Amino acid sequence: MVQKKICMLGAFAVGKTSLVARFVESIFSDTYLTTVGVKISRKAMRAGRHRCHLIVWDLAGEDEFLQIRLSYLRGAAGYLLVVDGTRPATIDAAISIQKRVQEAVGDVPFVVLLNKSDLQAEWEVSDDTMLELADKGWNWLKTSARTGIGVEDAFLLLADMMLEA
Amino acid sequence: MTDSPANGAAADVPSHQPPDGEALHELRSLILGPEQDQLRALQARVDNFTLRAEDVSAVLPEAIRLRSRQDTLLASAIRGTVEDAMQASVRSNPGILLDVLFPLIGPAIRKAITSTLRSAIDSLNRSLDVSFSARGLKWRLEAVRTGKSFAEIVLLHTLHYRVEQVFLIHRDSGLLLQHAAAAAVDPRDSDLVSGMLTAIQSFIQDSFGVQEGDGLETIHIGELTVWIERGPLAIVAAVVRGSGPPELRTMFQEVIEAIHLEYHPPLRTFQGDSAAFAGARTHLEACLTEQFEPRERHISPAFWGVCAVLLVGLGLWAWGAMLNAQRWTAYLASLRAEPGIVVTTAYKQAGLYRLTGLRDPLAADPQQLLRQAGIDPGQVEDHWETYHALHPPFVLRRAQSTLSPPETVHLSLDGGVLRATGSAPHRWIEDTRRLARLIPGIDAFQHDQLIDTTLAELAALTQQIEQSTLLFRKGSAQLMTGQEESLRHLSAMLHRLREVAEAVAVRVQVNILGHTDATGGEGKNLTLSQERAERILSSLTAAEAATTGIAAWGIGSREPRVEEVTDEDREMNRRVSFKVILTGMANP
Repeated sequence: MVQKKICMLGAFAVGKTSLVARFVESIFSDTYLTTVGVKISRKAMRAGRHRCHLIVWDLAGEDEFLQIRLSYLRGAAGYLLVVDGTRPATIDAAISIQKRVQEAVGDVPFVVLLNKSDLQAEWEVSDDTMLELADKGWNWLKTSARTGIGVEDAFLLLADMMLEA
Repeated sequence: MTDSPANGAAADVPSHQPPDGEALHELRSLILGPEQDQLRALQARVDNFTLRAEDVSAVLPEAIRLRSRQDTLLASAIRGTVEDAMQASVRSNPGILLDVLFPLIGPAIRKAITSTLRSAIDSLNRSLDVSFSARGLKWRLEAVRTGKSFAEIVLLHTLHYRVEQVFLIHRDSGLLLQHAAAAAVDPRDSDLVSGMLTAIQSFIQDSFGVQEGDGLETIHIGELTVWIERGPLAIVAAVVRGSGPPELRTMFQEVIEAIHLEYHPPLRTFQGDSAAFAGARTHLEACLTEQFEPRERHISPAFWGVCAVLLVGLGLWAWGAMLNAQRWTAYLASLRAEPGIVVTTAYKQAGLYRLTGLRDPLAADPQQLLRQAGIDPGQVEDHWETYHALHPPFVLRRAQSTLSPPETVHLSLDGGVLRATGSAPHRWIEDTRRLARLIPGIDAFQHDQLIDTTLAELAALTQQIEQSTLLFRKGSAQLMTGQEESLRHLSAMLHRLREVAEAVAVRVQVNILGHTDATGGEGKNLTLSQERAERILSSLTAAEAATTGIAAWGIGSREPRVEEVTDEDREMNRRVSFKVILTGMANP
C-alpha cells in the first residue's frame, strides 16, 4: 500500500475543509484546525494500477493574523492549493503560499483548485487570470465542494502527478 | 639523437649527393617510425591527467593493501587528511555522521549507564534486604526461583501496564510505516493517528521553539501514555495503558535503533510505499508487553468463618494430640525412671498405646502411674513379665518382706551385705542368719550391732535370780512371814528362765543353796540348811512341775551374806540363795 502525504493549502475560508469533508474519512473534528492548526484525513483511491492512500493534511487557512506552519509541509508528496473563485485576492494569497512552500519542500506536484465554481453569479476569476496560471505551468481545476464537481478529479490528478514523479 | 642516424647514413652514402631534408625525414620515419609513435603515445598519456588518474586508481587499492602490510607509514601519512575530511564533513552536514553513528551510540551509552545502574541496584537490593514482610518474602522467593534480582521482582510487581499500540512513523512525512496493536485495539485509523501525532510534535516544536532533534517524548492522557522515541529518520510511538516501567523506554530505544540499522536505505528513500517495512512488524510486536497486578480475590466472610472454625477445631485437636503425646512421653519417662520396671517396647497402633516390659512385683503399679499421668487406661494395652530386680531398695524391701523383722530392728543394705541394728529376739536372728542369704541380692548378714533380746533377758533373769534370797525363821525351815510373795516371784522368774533358755537352746541348772546363821553347831546347821533348801525346792517343783535341772544343797553357815554382829545380821544370813548355771550357749 502506497501512502502519500498531501496538504490542503490556501487562504482563509476558501473551502478547503469543505472540499475534503465530503470525500475523505477522518476521526478528528474540525476543532483541530483552530487548535493545532491541522486536521488529518485519509482518502483511499486507485490511480492507474496503484491503490493509494492519500493522507490529507488540511492546514488552517491563512489570513493576516495566521501564517501556515511550514513544518506541517515536511515530507509532503504534493499539495492542493485552493482558491476562492469569488474572491480574486485569494489567488494572490495562493501565489504567495506556493512560493513559500516551494522554498520549504522544493518542487513537489501541486494542483490549484478554483473552488466555489457553483457560484457562477459571483465568479470573479477571469479567463485571463486562468491563462496566466496555465502559463506558469500550474495545473488548475474548477471545483465545487457543494456539488462535488471536480473534487475527485483534483485528487486523481494530484495522485497521478505524484506517482509519476 | 636525431643527428646520429643522419651522420651514420652520411658515411654510407656518397658525399656528392647530400641527402635532402625530405628524404632524411622519410628515412627516419621508415627506421624509427614505430618507436616514435610509441613515444608520442606515452607522452600523451603522461600529459593526460584523466588517464593518469585512471592508471593510479587501478593500482591504488592493491598499493594501499601492500603498503599497509609492510608498515604503518601510510596510516600516519593519511591520518591528518582523514581527520580533516571528517571535520569538514561534520561541519558541512553533521546529519550524515549522526545517521551513521546513531545505531552504535545508543547501545554504547546504555552499556555504560547499565553498569553504573547495576551497582546502584545492588545497593538498593541490600537496603531492601532489611525490609521484611510476607509480601517481601514471597517476592524474595520468586527472585530466587526466577534467578532475577530482588529489585527487579519488586519493580515488576509494583508497576502494571500494557503496551496497546506501537507505531513506526516516517519522521518527515508522518506517514505510518508499520503498526502493531494488542488484540483489543482497533488498528484501522492508525495512519491518521500517526499523522496527527507527527503534526502535534511539529506543533509543539514550532510553538515552543525547541531545538531540532529535541521533541515530544511523552504524552499523558488519563490512563494512557504515549511514549515517543525518535531516530533520525523514523519515530516509534507506543501507547501504554497504566504506568510503564523505565525499562520500556530502553526497549523502544533498542527497537528504533534496530530498525534504523536494518532499514536505513529504505528509510532514506521512502516515497510512501511501506511494503519495505513489513519485517519491522516483529520489532513492534515485541514491544506489546503487559504486566498485570495479581487480582485480589474477594472471599465471602462465611468462608473465613468456616475456615476459622476448622482452624480452631484443628488447633484443639492438635493441642489435644500434643498433650496426649506429652502425657505419653512423660508416662514412658516415669516408667523408665521407676526401679523394677523395664520397658522393652512402646508404640502406638490403631489409636492404642501398646506397651510390653518386665516388672518386679515390688515395683510401682503401672496402672497407678497411668492414672497419675492423666492417661485413660482404656487407651493403653500393656503386658508385664515378672522379674526380680537387683536394685538395692528392692533387695531391701524384699528382705523386709521375707524376714519380717520386729519393729526394734532396722535393716540396711550395704553392697551385698544386709546389716541389722537395734534389737531382736534370738530366734529371729538365727532365722535371719539362715534365710538372708537365700534372698537374691544379699550375700551376707551382719548383726554385730544387733542386740539379742533373748540372751539379754536370760542374763537379766540369771542375775535377778542369783541376787534373790528367801529368809527363814530362826532354827526353822519355815519361811519368815512375808517371804511367800518373794517365793512366788522367784518361781515366776525361774519359769521364765526355763522358757528363755529353751528358746536359745541353753540347758539351765538351778542350784538352791540353804544357809544358816553362825549360831548353833555345824552339824545341826548343815541339816537345817539342807532342810531349808529342799523345802524351797519342793515348793518350786510343786508349782513348776518340772523336776529336772534343779537341785538343793545345804551348806550350813559357810557362806554368810553379811558378817554377823547383830541379830539383824543373823536374820539376813538365815536364807536360801540361788545359783544358775547355763550350759550349751553358742554366744554366751
